[in-house]
Amino acid sequence: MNKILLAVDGSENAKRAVDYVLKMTRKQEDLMITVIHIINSQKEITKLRNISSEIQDIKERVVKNGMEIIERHVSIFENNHIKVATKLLDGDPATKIVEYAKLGEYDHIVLGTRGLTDLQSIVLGSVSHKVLALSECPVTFIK
Amino acid sequence: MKVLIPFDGSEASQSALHYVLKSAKNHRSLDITILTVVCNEAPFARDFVANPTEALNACQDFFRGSLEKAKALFDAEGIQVSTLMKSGDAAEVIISTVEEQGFDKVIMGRRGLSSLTGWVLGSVSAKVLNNVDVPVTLVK
Repeated sequence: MNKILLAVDGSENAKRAVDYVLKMTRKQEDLMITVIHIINSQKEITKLRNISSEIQDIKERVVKNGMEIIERHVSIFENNHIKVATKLLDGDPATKIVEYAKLGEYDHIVLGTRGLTDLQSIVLGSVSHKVLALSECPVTFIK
Repeated sequence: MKVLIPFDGSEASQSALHYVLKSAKNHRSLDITILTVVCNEAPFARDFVANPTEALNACQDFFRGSLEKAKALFDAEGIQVSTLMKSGDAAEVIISTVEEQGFDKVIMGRRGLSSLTGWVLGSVSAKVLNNVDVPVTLVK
């Protein structure tokens, strides 16, 4: 059994990561795939705090968006008759992805990335950079 | 699927080998190449030996030995691999090899990349990751 944690967001790179894992399933039969998406509701609440939305409303909307992102990717697997598990977590994306991979004893993390070049990602830490630094298991980056 | 494993003998690159070895056992269609990039100019040579060519040869012999050992791991499991030895800037050689020989995937080791220095100065794996279009798997 090979446990794959596929981390997705709304980006094009995430779609390519989905295609990559889909290809893996054609070559290997013993894969157990979990599609994970992390929402950061605290960050969204901070962003929108000047607008007179209720915190609860923002949270609900963020969760709903998160669910939609997962469903969009999962439907690609379903169309290919592949069963996958799903997980939606709230918090710092990289930290949550790595924590979940450790807890679930995943063998492999797959995620889409735009690369690690920009200075902002060096200083502030992009999700891929942070996942790479924190994770113990192999990480595959898809562009 | 053509897989390139850059190998420098480090612990992390050993882990990458073992990772590929494990997946190659239930995935026989892998076409594996182990690449060692070494002995670029052998800069230490001038200080220690009269003959830099000799030092370069010694360096290449050493790494050829470790590359052979890496290959032997796969031979023992009956898995065919090719080996390549090149010299130059490690990241640049890896990137050009991927492009020129049409590799589908790179699997390589990484050391701790958490330090800021590693990122500002650019580690080999970061440079490879930024400059190839194919999937890159990094193994600790």
